[in-house]
Amino acid sequence: MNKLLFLLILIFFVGVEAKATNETGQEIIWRVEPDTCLVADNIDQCLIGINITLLVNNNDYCVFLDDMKQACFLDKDQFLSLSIQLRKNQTLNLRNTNGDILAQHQLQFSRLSSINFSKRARLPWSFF
Amino acid sequence: MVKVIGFIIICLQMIAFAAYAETIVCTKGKDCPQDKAWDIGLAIGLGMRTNPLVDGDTIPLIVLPDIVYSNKHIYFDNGELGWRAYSNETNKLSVFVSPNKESANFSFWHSANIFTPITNVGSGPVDNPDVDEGSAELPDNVSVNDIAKRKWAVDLGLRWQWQYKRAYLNLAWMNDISGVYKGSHFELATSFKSTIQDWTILISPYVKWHSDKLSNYYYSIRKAELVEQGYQYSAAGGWQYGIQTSLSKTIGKHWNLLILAGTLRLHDGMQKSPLVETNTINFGFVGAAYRF
Repeated sequence: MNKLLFLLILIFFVGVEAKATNETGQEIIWRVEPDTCLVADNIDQCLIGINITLLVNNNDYCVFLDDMKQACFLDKDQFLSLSIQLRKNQTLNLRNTNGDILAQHQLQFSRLSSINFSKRARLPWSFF
Repeated sequence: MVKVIGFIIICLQMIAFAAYAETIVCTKGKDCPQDKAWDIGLAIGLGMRTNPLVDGDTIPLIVLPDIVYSNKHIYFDNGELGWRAYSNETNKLSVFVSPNKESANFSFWHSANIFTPITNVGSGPVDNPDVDEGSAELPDNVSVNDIAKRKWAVDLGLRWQWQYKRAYLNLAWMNDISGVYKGSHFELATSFKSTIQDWTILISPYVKWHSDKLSNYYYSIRKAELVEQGYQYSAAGGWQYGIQTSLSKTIGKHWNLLILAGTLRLHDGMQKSPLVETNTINFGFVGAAYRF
């Protein structure tokens, strides 16, 4: 009886095990953060420190910025820190040893600007 | 004049307050207002604007558009078509043409009455070739229905805008180029924009000056009108002051909750006109605004 109860509990936990997925239903296998760098309006590039966490056990993977290799997961590490210089939006790719892209994450290059309200000559909602 | 000085003190206080305000930033190419050439909005709701004229209808406000186009030199902003002659980070100098809104009180179906939350209305007797001196004593009230039609006019103007953080000064001089009222008017407005939690608040006190000719064209009683009764009145120009406020809160990607309110105190020359029965024009609007 105890064995049967144990088996049922085991089946229950196996059954409810769920893997994190993104909005398209694909399994999320890594986490990239932060993914946005903000610079002042007159700055052309930024240096962003990125932490990458691998969420699967297979760590025979490398990280590419577009097509340029940045770093690989070593041994059983599931964590990488990178410093990346951005001048525009670029994509981080996670590839396996065959070069297949397993996951992608876009890094955003954004400029901050002062909101120029004085673009308006008249008050909003004052037609005619 | 005391009122004008009071207004200037309010402006200086707002600018001093703005000096401590943080700069509001946006992400370039994503959510900055200056990124887009066109900025079009439509608000639907319920509101009204009072009409100061005797027998003048209170004007319902149902639909309010907000239409802006802007490039480096040319702009269109809610009926005003302008050319920016000079522009830098803090100053803008523009030449523009725009319809004069003074006739809106006299004709219900004027476009300003469909869309606009406020209309300018323009003291003491002045020389008026159309008015015969020494006629019969004026009645207290003369209905807007008993006088000749007041035409709409087109103004040519010069505008200077100055920005300091989130405080704005806006100075404009306008002159009739359509030969209707053959006068001019002037406006000094200041605006301060702030955000409190999800609400964006814009407060804009202003003063306006109307020339004798402008006030006289719209608010005098000419000898051709009511001549059989011998009524006449000649309205002189003067200063008037008011405040406009708007509150908006984002309720969706394109939708905002919009609340507008304002009041305008008419100058003495208008207040004394038999055509005018109230001293102020008030307006209010509550609705939902959609930004395209």
